[in-house]
Amino acid sequence: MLKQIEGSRAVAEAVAMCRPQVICAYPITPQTHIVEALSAMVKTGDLHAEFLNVESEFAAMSMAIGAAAAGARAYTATASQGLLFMSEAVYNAAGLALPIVMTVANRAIGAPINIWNDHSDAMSQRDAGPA
Amino acid sequence: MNKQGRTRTMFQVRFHGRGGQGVVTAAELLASAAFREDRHAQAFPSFGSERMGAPVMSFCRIDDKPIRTHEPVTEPDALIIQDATLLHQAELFSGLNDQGYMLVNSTKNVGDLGLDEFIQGFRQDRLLVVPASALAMTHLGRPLPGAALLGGFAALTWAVSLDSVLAAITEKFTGPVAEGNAEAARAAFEFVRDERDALTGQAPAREAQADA
Repeated sequence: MLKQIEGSRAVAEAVAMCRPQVICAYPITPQTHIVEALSAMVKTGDLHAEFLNVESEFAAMSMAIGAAAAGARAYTATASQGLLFMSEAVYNAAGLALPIVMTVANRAIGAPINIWNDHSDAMSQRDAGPA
Repeated sequence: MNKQGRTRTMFQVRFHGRGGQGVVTAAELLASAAFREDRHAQAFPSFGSERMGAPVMSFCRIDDKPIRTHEPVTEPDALIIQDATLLHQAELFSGLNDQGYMLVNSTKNVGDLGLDEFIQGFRQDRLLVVPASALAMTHLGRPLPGAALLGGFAALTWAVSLDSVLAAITEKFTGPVAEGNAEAARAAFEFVRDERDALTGQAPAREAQADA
């Protein structure tokens, strides 16, 4: 049966079907609804995963690296300035060939603060080597 | 098949309101209602770093084909104005053509809204008011006009049926909130239907309703 849901919710449901074991989250518009939905699934027990509220995007990817290096399926999501803050760890994740899954919600990079959608965030990390 | 004689091309709606009033939820409910009628629909806000009370917009598109565009709606077929104090502030009417629909949340008559200059040349039976906040206070106990406006919108445009609007409401909300919103939507539907029938001197909408 088809149903209509918010795009972020659809991402969250698809991620949940992949049974991630570690989810690292730091909120940033417009990605927040994805990890909110995942956190609700973890809370209700529909998804068995470690949900880690971290202190920054840099920490989110760093913990995903640690989790993936230990053999866990790791997921995180971010956008815009959050992806830039994460950048150093993104290169390490790619260089270590760790199978981390990340959603980039594609929001323009500031300044000034910009909440419109474009690909300037994802394109900035293109050459880090994520598959 | 289309039983209600609607045009089957894309129908675009722009919602204007104030932050916290529920323009985003209203657009999502309308998309959900249309989706129940096996149509394609999308809803999204003009994403701002908005605060309570700021003028905000949201959009809904309905079509029979997959909707590829994700642009903000610049040429709406219908406007839903959640807060009448916006009428003389923002460029609410931008892009609305003379066959367009407008539903304003107000306890005043259309003629008392100070829009005479603007509404010349428009179809008077398509520019209507409904006291959506008052209906919400009566049935819901909170001045959130979104559901009532969608009920009124169904009567004004027949772009979606009242039943679909009610189904969308009862899926989104639960318990007394669902009941209150559904009651407000029903009351607004009847208000707008009667208002329109009085203007057109007939009741074409009721025949369509019986058909549906």
